[in-house]
Amino acid sequence: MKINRLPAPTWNRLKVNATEVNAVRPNKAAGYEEKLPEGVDKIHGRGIGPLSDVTIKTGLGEEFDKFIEDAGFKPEGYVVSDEEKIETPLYQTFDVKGNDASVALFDYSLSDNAELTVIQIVKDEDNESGVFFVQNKYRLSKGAKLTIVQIQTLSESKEFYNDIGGYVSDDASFNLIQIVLGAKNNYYGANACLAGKNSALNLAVAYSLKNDELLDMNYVADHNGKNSESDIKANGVMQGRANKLFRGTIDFHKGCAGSKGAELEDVLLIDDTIVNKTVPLILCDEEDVEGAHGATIGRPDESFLFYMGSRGIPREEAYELLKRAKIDAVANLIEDEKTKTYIAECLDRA
Amino acid sequence: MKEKTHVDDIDRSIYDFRFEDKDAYKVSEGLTEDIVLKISEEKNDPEWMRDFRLKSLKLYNEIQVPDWGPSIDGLDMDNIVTYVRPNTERMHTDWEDVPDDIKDTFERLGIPQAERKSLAGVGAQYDSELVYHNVKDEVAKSGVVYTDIESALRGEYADMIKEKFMKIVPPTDHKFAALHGAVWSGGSFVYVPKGVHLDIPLQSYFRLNAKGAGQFEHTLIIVDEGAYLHFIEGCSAPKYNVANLHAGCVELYVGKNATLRYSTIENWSKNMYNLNTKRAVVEEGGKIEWVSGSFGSHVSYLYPMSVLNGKGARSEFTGVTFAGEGQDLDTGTKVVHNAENTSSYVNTRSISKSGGINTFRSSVVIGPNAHGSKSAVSCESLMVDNESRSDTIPSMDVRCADADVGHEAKIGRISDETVFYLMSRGLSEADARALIVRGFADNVSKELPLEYAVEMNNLISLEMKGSIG
Repeated sequence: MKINRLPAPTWNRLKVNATEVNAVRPNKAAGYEEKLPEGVDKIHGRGIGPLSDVTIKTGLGEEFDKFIEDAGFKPEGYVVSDEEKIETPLYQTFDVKGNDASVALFDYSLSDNAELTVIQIVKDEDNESGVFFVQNKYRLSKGAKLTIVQIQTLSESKEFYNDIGGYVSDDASFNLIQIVLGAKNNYYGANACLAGKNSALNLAVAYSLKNDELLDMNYVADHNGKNSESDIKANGVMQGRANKLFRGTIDFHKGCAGSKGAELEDVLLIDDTIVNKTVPLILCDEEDVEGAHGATIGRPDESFLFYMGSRGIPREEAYELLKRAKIDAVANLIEDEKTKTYIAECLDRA
Repeated sequence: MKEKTHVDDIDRSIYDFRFEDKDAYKVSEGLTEDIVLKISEEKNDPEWMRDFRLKSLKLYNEIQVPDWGPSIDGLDMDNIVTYVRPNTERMHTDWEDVPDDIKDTFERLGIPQAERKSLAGVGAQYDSELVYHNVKDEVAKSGVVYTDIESALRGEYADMIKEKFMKIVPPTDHKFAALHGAVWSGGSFVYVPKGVHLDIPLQSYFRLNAKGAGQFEHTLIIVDEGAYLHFIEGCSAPKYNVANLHAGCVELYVGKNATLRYSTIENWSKNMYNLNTKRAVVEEGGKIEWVSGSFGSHVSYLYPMSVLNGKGARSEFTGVTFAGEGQDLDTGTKVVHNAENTSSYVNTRSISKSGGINTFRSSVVIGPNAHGSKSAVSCESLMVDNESRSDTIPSMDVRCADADVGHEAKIGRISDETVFYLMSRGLSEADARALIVRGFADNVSKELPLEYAVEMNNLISLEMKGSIG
């Protein structure tokens, strides 16, 4: 199947229009530990809340969505009622074991002015070549705010499919923070339909890729509502024979007057054997909008390395500091101190 | 009541005239082996070229239409006449010998005046054939060769042409490169010897007059070590109610420490499918400078490409695209960094109005050997109204850590604050907006010789009215 399709294709020879994968069919519902805070209702099954009729597009795309649906697993639904502001995060920890192809599906439905933070940690303690699929869908009513934080530290034998999609109503916002520290093959996709007035997407991803790790990403901000805003940031470090493809799209549809979208990518390259591809799209069908993209890719500035050297810090250590700083810049967006400590520990062990 | 700002289409009146082509020789419509052989016979091709055409035709029939760009469904090759020879038997070197209607065409376009004032040499192509080619004596004496490519194919440069023809853009590259290989006709060959610095530009002008015809000229330029050339290309056509096609090919060889500036003001009519391919290979220390103004055509696929093969080779691309009613212009550039310390700089502007569609598409590839290379891409798009569309589709592929790649893109509209500021300094709103839009396209006009910059500014006939909003 083809996943992570670019919303507007370009030259086929660049091999960025979509990614062809041969995914193993999921054969098991993933086990996970969960800490469910008070005020969140958990329901088994899809189709919950006031926006349940809204069709959700996800980042990995239609073929993946159908692939997951055909596997026959049901999602877990989480509902937060009007005005409920859940202060304690919903923690979900996945320990991916063995050679299984396991799957976890979640639906979040936040009613008017509700707030929720979900923290998902994906890890393993073996070197088996398993596959893990996670799909998060969300529907946010007026003024709702959902934050999803994902930290992935799988071993280099695992394959990880991470698919997100949702609908954002008036004055609602979706925040996504992703830290990618492992797995052999990573496929990440996220789509936000900014349907309402003043709806917002804030997306920040940090990755550290090494050896033969692959990270294939597709992030889409679909601006439909007036004065909607999107901000997509990607910070990364690449070494070894790592391979990364970042697709980021700001799509201004007709009628989204007053909207703003920004994308920024900053990639630190350490070895000559890496493959780093970036495709940042701005699609514009509306006059009164502002879209901007910036990317800086390469080695750190020599004057910085010289300065560090003059302070007794060798080049390799300076690289380590920079690498850490790139991850920390995104990790610091997480409000939960326990999660930040967990990331710091993972980085210390790496 | 607020009135939306209005920006007029480009004034095409000086280009939109035509003459009957009753005396011209044409092949039949469509694309068959017989037609290709007929063109080859007309051109008196050497055997290798006839075989090349037939192989290209085979490739054309095998390669699929691009599935990623603007629709070209309105282009039916069965209705396109691929070769039209104007009513003159040969190419002329004296302007007075050119037939009256063709002479009148180029005089209206200002070509002979430009030749007298500011050019080192001129080539003028009418439909499928060059009708006039001339180079100033002092330029010829310096060893510069500027001639039609067909003469070169049979003369003392025959081996050079055979060695270089469609080697940078092989017919396997894409469907319309294959089409070009099969039916190409006309175009120029330029050779600038080692160390020769041509202070004033050469110009080729391409005029497609015949209804439902295609133009497939081939331009081959070799700038030898340490030499300098500025080559200007202009093109236009009258408007018809049927599709016309332009699938030219430009191959540029820039030698060691040489510089080639290639400027284009493209103003095809709005029934034209402009599927043109331009590519340069740059050796050590050499530089290619593309200056590109795209104003015409119904659909364009145009991405001049620089292949930086030598250490320290450089590429600059400066472009402006103006898409108005009925236009879908997909333009941009490609750069491949294949050697150490190469650099590229891309600076583009696009303006969309009255339902026009602009797409900026680019590709920057930093290969594994391109240590110390740098690339900077900047593209800005201006939406003048709410009926139009503007997309930005850049791609970067970096396979070398020791590289520095930057990219920035912006899409927006004319800022009310800037208009207000200019009005507070005494300008009318229309003048303020015109100034902003002309300034927006200034990146290209300031790179052109004065006469051409004036022509370009005239092309953007911007008439404004109305109030903010």
